[in-house]
Amino acid sequence: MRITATRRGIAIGGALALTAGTLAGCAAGGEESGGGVEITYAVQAFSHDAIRPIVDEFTAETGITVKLESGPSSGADLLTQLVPAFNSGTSPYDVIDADDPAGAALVAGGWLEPLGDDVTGAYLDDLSEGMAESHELWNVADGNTYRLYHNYELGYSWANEQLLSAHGLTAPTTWDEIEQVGEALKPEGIYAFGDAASKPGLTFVYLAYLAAQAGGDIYAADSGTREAFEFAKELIDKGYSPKDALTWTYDQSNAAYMSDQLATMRQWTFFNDVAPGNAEWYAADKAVIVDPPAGPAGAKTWAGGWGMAVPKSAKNKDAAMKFVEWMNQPEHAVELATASSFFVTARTSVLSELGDDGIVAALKHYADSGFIVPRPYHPQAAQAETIVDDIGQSYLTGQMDIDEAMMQLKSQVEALG
Amino acid sequence: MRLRTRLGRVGPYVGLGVFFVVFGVPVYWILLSSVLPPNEVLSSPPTLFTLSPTLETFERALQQLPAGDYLRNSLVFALSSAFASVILAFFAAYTFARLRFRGSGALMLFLLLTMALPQIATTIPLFQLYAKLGLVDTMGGLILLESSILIPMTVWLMVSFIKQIPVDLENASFMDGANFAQTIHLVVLPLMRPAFVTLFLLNFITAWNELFYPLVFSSTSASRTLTVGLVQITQVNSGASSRPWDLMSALAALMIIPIILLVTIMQRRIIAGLTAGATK
Amino acid sequence: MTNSTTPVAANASSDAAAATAASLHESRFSVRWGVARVLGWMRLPKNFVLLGLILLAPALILRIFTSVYPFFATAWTSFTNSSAYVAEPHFVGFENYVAIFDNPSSRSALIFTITFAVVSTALELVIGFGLALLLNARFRLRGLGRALVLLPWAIPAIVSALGFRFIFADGSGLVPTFLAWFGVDIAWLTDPFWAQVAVILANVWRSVPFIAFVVLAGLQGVPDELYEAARVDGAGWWRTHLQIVLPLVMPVLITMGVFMVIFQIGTFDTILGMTGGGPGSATQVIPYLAYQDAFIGLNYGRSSALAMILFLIVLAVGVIALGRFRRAEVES
Repeated sequence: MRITATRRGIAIGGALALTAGTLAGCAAGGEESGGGVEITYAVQAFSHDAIRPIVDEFTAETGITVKLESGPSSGADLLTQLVPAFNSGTSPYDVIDADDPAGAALVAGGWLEPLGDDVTGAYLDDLSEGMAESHELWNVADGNTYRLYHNYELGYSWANEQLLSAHGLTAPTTWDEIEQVGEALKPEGIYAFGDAASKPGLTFVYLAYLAAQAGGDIYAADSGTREAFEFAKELIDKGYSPKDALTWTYDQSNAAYMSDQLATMRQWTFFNDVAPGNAEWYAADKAVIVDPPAGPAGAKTWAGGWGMAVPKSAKNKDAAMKFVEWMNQPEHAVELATASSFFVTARTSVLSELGDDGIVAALKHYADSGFIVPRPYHPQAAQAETIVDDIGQSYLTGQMDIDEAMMQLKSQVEALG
Repeated sequence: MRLRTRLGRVGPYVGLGVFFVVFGVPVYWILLSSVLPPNEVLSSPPTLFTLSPTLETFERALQQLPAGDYLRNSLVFALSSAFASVILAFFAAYTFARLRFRGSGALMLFLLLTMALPQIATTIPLFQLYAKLGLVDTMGGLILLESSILIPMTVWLMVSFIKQIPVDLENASFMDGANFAQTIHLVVLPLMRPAFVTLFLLNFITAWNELFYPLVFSSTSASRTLTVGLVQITQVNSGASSRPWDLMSALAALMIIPIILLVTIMQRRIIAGLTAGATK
Repeated sequence: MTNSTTPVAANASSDAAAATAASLHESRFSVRWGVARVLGWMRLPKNFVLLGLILLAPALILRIFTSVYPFFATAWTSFTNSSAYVAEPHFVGFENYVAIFDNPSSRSALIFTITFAVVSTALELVIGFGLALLLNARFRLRGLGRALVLLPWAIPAIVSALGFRFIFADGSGLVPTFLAWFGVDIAWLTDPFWAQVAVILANVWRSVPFIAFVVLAGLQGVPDELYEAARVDGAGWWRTHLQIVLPLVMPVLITMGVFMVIFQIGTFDTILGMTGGGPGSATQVIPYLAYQDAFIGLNYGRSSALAMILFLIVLAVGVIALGRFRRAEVES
């Protein structure tokens, strides 16, 4: 029943917009498209409450009402849900929220509307260096911008400094030091490093992280990639990193870390909330964000995120553009980042306003130190990441040797076209 | 000899004991996880027992996930699919059992053969068709698919149930001057009531447990079922967060508690249904 | 063999007269009354073929709409380069099939799909037969015991799969903890071989109850005199069951075997929940791979080809089984 009502809502909204559009002609400015126009923005449901008040400000200013719809929680879902609609020239939403792989696929399919300079201007001026690089790689094609990040996630290095110092150690800062710490902690039954790396998806996240540190282009299966794979295998074989992590989800790596089995781990932002939540275990020096370990190419970690885009077949494109522009004004970006961690990015405005403490301070430090590199790019990223999952796990569990793994990785990625 | 007899008497109990442990412990463990405090769930060594159960994870599941929506969708999906499949299957089965005509055997064989078709071998075109018809992410569309996939097995079991009714009763009814509809209504349906209950239960359980169709065809909480909600929790990766096993176990418990109740109360009927098809 | 269903039949006939009488007085506006009334209006009783077709129509049309038509569409798609990235798909012959056989992960998935179905079925039949023998004995709280045995079958496969993922997990899992008492140390889910064993065991755990109850129904059809006669002949428990009872329920076991192989070739939930096909592609199966290709990779052509291969395997199993059956029927 609900869906019918929604559909009708969209249809009416669309009809109104069409009428308004026809009447106003091409000069659809603020006033013309205001008054009764409703657009829909599909974004993950958990963020709705936090961003609602800010979205209402937009409505107050422009008269355009925004209906928040619960968007898919993964890029794959987004594609399966929307591609059929786009193919038939319709779109259930005016503004969508896509992660990197889905965003790239939508750009490749030609389903997104280019965002004009008026929409992107304030955003582009506001990007920090690493984030600009990601944006360039994932959101821009043929000189057109298709998507703007409102979320920018990266893997941090967490260290249990209490545990380390109890054994007279400090957090490892290089690959070599991970091995040294690993050797020292091995007799205690503690692993130097751990990262959940199960299928689907998580194996890729981990291997791409190491590949970044080795300076490798993972889809080219180059020498850096080879080094990263070999290092991951070495950590497992020497007992510095748990082999079982290949079956872990992130809550399992958190659980292992919080039962003092891991001295350090790579983890997404959310651990910053998880750790203090475990009151029995938590102490400030048990979950410290440290610099990522430096591989041959230095201390690196990759980042990616969710961004807003306007489908070509959206019904209310003008109002949608206005919304995207408004949401990406620096002052609104800061408001949004304050309201919801899903809207935290490495934008200069956000870093300078909120970068004094909490997770944003860590983000600022990582950004300022040049640790951040973009998520490895592939136009068919979802499929390509699956290939890395399969081959990475096969190699790490001894089902193929490194030559075979590199050869397979290269040829299977190439076969994607 | 005496030892042997004693062994013979104790043996089954030991064997059954082993089976009960093997079958019961995983279910117990899933249920237990849902009432443990979050930090004890993945502890090592595993927690096997708790004196301080908590409903905290259920509360969090309801807060952080649209668990209420999932539950409602699962119920609507399973009840409607079970109902529709039993009704449609009855009409088909009655035809196959009683109104046999030239070609009806072939039609029945055809219906049964479609059962062997793997779900995935039909999904892509169905998805494209559904997208065109606007049926993606609707309860109606899902129920249609699930009823359809339940039909062949239901027809097969229903035929064997109908054949157990002495045909003389129907003949007598016709001789008394009743027409076809009256005969179905007054003679067949009352006799089939236990069979309906059995098949409804079986289909309800199957639909309640269905993952594949909802996983493919639903995208929001408008039609997502508990099974899909469960998978979603585990597969939110590289993005904002990964939700923990304690929430999963709360959803899992939500799914299996009704099943445990059903199975305990209705085991006779369920077993009757399970065994009817294979033993003719 | 009708024994198995006598509970239903017996209830039915004892209720019959009362129910017939009662329903005469039932409200005129019940659903049943409505359905029957509609059929009555059609005045169709004399033309059985037409009536039959009308009664069959809803079920048949639904099946054609959701299985026959999409099946042929899948078959066609498998010969095209259809994908979300291709605006106008065209015919590519056997390209997708060649790509599948060229790719070591999909080749190993193909092999494991069959291994999974066959090994699972074999274990299920043996264990199911044993469990049926035990359940056939009289014991206290039999009803409760049976309900307990039924549980693994009744709870959702995705729930048990996720449960087993954690039950087999190193360190915190029940199975490794239990085995550690005996000094056995197996990395269940990270070792390719043991991961395969683990998913098969989880699957067997789920399916044994079903087999057991079907066999049990068969066992209840074995007349008491046979056991009596065997006892008089001095046959022990093992001989009685292996030489006399087993051959009697063999037809049921064979039917179930074919059914379970076909059914388990389509396995999806267990793999998705437990390993995601890992480590590497060790536990990858065709249905899950085809799902990923279609709904993550958006490569519809290749996914359809995988689905068609799956269908051909099922077809082959069916044909072989039918052939065997014929021979068995002729011999008996």
